[in-house]
Amino acid sequence: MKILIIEDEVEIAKSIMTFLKKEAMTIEHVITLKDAKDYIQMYEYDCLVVDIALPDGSGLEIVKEIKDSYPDTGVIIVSAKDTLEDRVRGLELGADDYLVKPFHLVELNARIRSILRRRLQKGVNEMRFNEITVLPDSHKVFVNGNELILTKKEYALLYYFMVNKERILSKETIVDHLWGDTIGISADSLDFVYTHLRNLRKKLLSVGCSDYIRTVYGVGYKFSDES
Amino acid sequence: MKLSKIYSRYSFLATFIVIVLCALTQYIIFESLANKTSDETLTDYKKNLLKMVAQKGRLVDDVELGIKKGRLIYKQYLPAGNERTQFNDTTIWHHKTQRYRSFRTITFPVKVQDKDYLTVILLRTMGKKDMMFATIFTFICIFLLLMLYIILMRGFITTKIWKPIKRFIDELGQASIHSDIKYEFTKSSVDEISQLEKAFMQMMNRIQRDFRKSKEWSENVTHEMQTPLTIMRSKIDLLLEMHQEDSKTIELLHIMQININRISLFNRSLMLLTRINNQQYDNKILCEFNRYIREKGEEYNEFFELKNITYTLKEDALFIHEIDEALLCILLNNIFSNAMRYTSKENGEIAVLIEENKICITNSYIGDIPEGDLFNRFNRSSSREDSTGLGLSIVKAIADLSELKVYARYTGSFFIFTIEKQGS
Repeated sequence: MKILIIEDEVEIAKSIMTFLKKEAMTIEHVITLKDAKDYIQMYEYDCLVVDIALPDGSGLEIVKEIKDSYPDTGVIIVSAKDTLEDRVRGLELGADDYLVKPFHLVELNARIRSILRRRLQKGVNEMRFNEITVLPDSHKVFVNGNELILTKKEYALLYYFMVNKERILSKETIVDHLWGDTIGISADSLDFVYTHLRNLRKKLLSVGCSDYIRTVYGVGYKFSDES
Repeated sequence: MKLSKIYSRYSFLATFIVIVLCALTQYIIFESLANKTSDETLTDYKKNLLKMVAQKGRLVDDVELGIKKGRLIYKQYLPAGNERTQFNDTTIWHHKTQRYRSFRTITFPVKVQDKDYLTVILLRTMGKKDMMFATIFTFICIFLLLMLYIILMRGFITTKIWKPIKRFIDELGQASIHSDIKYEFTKSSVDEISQLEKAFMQMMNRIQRDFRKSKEWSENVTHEMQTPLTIMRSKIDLLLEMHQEDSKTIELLHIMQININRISLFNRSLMLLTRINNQQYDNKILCEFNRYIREKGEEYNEFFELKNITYTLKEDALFIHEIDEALLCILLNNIFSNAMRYTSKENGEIAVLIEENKICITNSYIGDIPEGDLFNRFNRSSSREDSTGLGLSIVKAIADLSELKVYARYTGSFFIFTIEKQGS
């Protein structure tokens, strides 16, 4: 899987590259729009992570260009611009997702994985973690081959854990992922995370699944098979 | 009503009043001058008569006095001692013309051969009716001429002077601070209009420039703030990855993460407030609030259930109002989020009532009541560290921009938030 990061802030690009290394992805980075245009002409990418504000123009240009030439390439816009208008403009040009800065790397990872899964694993789309199998297209979960019925939020939570396994997910990151801007981080929303997590854990255990959800005290959770 | 019509109407009224006053004044002056002239003539007749009577020692007749026949009358009387010369107006029926004729009379005593006579000399004058008719006729003619002048002037003003004003008004109607068009000054043949247009165009271009700068400023601030926050957050994410086994470090990194979230949220909320106040949201459409509230209720239902809150929605009528759709979503989200956040945990209730001109959101409330205006920036309950204190300021700013009124009050253990159409 090959990713191109088009970002003028080198430190942000470096962080993304370091973080995604663990995901066995090939990652390249360019700073300017001109370089980005050259790279997409020369190489083929599975996904582009594009910042809008580039030193020599708007990243939206590259979104349009890549969608015209290589419509199968996934595009995620990362931008500080957070208005609905900005998001709509980006998505209308063909971007698959829009992530507002500052974002969590685990969230970016989840979004990239979603896009890659949709684009690359056509037809055979499943995720496995020991006895757990997730079919993202149909939102179905199987434990040891038996279907486990989850609510929408429990499924989203499990999926988020699966794409970010062995990583610490803070409660705030989970709130952001599950509800975005709807409720924001508050004592209530952290309680809601806990409630959904408790129910998910209970359901997994009830069908004989091991408890992979580790509590990281005072911070959040980690999905891991290491005890 | 058009300015030219107002101008014509007031010109007509003013001209009419002036004409009536002029006519009255002229009539009074004319009458007084005519009387004065008549009185002088009659006085001359009197002097002549007295002179001739003294010379001849007898009464003289009208022919001797040189006046028309029948216009000199003597009447013998017994003097009382207080007889004086008097002037009067009188009318006499004229058989030939079958009309009354107006006369000015002088009455004075004459003594001839020890007999006292009261002498009356009549002088034909213009009748009051005739005088009034002449005055009215004259002024009607003047009035009509003035009307003609006003109508012609109106036509002239409409074509020559009003046309540039009309064009200017059309330009004003199309002017927008959101537009990137540079407004050009169109020179008019009327100096004052030219000056007005020039001043307006300069003002408009200045406003546009300031608006653009302000927009750029908010975009730059967002970018310049969010970029370092993104770097910090991503580095913390990496540190969390690297120190997964060191619980103390993880805890410290988590605290940093939480505070980066807070700064980011503050920044985004402040920028949203700035954009609203700068009127950067101007895509107003007619929205049926009922539908959006229903959707928001469904969205929040999950949270209400998790928090054991009883939520009810009562729709008595459709609340339809013009508002930017994105702002409406933010407005409702902030209100619902606020209501949920401050609803008591035990037997919590949130009730929404929609009327034609008013929406009330009531929630059971237990906690510190913030002092001062709830809609002021950074006013929040002291017990809520997770609030930015900007939520209701944003609601107020959206309401102000969308011509809505918002207010909040406490009654017993309930907090009532009301949205009302302005002027309802």
